[in-house]
Amino acid sequence: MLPNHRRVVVTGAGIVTPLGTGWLSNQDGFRNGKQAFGPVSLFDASRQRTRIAAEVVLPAVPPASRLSIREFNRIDRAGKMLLWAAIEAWQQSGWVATEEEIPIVLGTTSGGMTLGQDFYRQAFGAGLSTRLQSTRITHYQPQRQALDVMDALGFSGPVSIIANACASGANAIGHAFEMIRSGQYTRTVSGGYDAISQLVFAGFDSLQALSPTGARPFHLRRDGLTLGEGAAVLCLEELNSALNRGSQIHGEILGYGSATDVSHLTQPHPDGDAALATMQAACKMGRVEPRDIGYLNAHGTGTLLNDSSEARAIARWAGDDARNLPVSSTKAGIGHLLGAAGAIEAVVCLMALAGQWLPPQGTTEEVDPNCNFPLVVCPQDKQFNLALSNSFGFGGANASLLFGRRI
Amino acid sequence: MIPIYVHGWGAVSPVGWGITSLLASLASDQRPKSTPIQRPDGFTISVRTVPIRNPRPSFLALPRLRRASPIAHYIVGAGLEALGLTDRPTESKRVGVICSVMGGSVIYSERFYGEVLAEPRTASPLLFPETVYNAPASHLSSVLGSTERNYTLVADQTGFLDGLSTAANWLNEGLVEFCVVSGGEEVGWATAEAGRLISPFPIAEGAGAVLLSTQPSPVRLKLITRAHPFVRSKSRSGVWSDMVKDLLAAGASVSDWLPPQKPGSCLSEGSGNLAGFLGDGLAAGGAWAAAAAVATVASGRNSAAVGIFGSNLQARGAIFVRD
Repeated sequence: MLPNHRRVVVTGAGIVTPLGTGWLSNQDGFRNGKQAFGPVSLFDASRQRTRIAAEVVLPAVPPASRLSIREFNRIDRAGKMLLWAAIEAWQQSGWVATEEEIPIVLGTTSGGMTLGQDFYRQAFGAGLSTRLQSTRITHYQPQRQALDVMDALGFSGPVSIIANACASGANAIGHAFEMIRSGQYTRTVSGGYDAISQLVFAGFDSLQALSPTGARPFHLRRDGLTLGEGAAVLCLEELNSALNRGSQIHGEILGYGSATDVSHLTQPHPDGDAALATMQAACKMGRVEPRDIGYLNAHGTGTLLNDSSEARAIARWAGDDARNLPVSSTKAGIGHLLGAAGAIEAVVCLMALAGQWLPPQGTTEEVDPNCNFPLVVCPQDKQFNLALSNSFGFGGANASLLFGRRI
Repeated sequence: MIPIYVHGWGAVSPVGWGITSLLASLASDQRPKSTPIQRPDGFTISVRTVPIRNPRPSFLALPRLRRASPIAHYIVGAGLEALGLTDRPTESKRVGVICSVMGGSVIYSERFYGEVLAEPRTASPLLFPETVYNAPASHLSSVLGSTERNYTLVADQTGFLDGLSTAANWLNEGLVEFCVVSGGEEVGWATAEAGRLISPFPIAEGAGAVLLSTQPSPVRLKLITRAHPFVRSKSRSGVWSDMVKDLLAAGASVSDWLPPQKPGSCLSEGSGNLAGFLGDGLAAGGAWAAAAAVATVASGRNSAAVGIFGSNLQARGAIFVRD
């Protein structure tokens, strides 16, 4: 750490997943390895090869915020999940509306895609009618959703939307972390969000990347991923600022690594070169060795190529120490949340560190022989201080985040 | 903060491939012609498209770009020009990549979603990966053979300046040796329809890029203003004047920019309002303005400022100076 580098802690974490809305319901779900897969209800999936996903059930009543009911109702499904998560994180952190510049850094793959689809269908089929179209154009874009969060909570600052496919959420948190670490800001709001949309579902189905039965990461006979949806938001704060406020601290971000796999647009390098680089970079920044890590939340989508590549990367990175490194993929329970995945899994790591338990994935009875690490398949308690989270995406976007137990 | 220098610039725009085309067109006040694009029902909308380059650039034959959407061609074209390359690098540099987009890969998205609505079982698996926001940025890193950091930022016309800011931080922290920052767009019928409803200018396509490093060069990035987002507690005109005040405080001579601008305006000292000239290039518009400003400084002007009044996110500015 350079002399001017500052320590960054998490003082608030909000989460919305198919397991529930809020920290407590999700903590219970992740700790016990619950699954939330079911038939797709958000659109007609009857003509798709695969028809299951993990959908969020949003609360019927809007959250309390500075937005009016009318303003809230104009927001699409993804933006609503984002708002629920942001409000929970903001409340946990004890932050209040302020004139201080607070950056917001969000990751997403598709923003308000459902509004984009509505726009397309009307433009395609309704002639020159422009009813609601301007609103859809405005609210479809993720920068509008970020501004909605600022308006809802009463703050302002730079907006960064990182769209690095399935690594977006991790990149967003890493970017926000670096903004504080480098001394530019004292506080940031960051996270990731995505809702299931017909276009994206059909896209993964067209690639035959979706499992017809439900994701089984690192299983010998895994057959694809399952899509999920949700949002997670972290309030990050410089350590001394949090201590001076007497704030609760969920944990510390110690490292972040980001690299690009240029071998193929949609397939990882078989040996996981970029995955290896990100794990090494995050640990180097945090000044820790693989043997120091107590839990690794894998990207673990359940596709043949991702899981074998990631397993090889872990083996190369940790060597013999991998035999003592518990690994799991929480996508076994909630599916792949795309741009939200890295942020959700960051919160899972913080929950696990705070509660001293390991999140199990209960769907993997026969493990891929490429895995030289123990998969966490049953709920278990464990004393540990460091957790690493991997996120990899289309376009070769790779990111790893290193978390430390609260001080 | 370590000084950040500009080492190269490039542009692909409705007036042609290359920054020279853009500057020549600005100097002669020869605006690009509008072309019609058809909605599925036959209704036509005027847009500004990039002319086909003849001869075809050799980099378009690279395997990663053969099936790529036009936005990737533009971003790679502008990026390679900024890097001073015609094909791929001959030496290994630690080159980070940052691309800003607003609409992104809309042409393949339109095609793919059309296929999904018609018959999802036969929707093309070749199209979907190219619809993802970061596909063009990934192609650029792949063409460069660079495994360094790569971000795609979604924003309005100001996204390019956000990219410069992020690149400056990466360079300052020593995370990369060089960083190519690009902004690009392509025009499909749905973008044109959206533009018809929300933009005062015809929608345009293309890309712009600059190459940054901490290694000294004649052009320095002096300042990127604070971001001035369109939160509801601030009026749009107030946001614009706050940004212009930031530029004035830093020594720019932009007082004639004070009247509130139209959404999508990308003003560049010495080049005027590029959206009024080229069309609303969305994320590419901010990149063209910055590339034009850098080019005018490189050709002898002491400094040039860029002021962008985005469509739906923020106002932001930058100043480039001759060292």
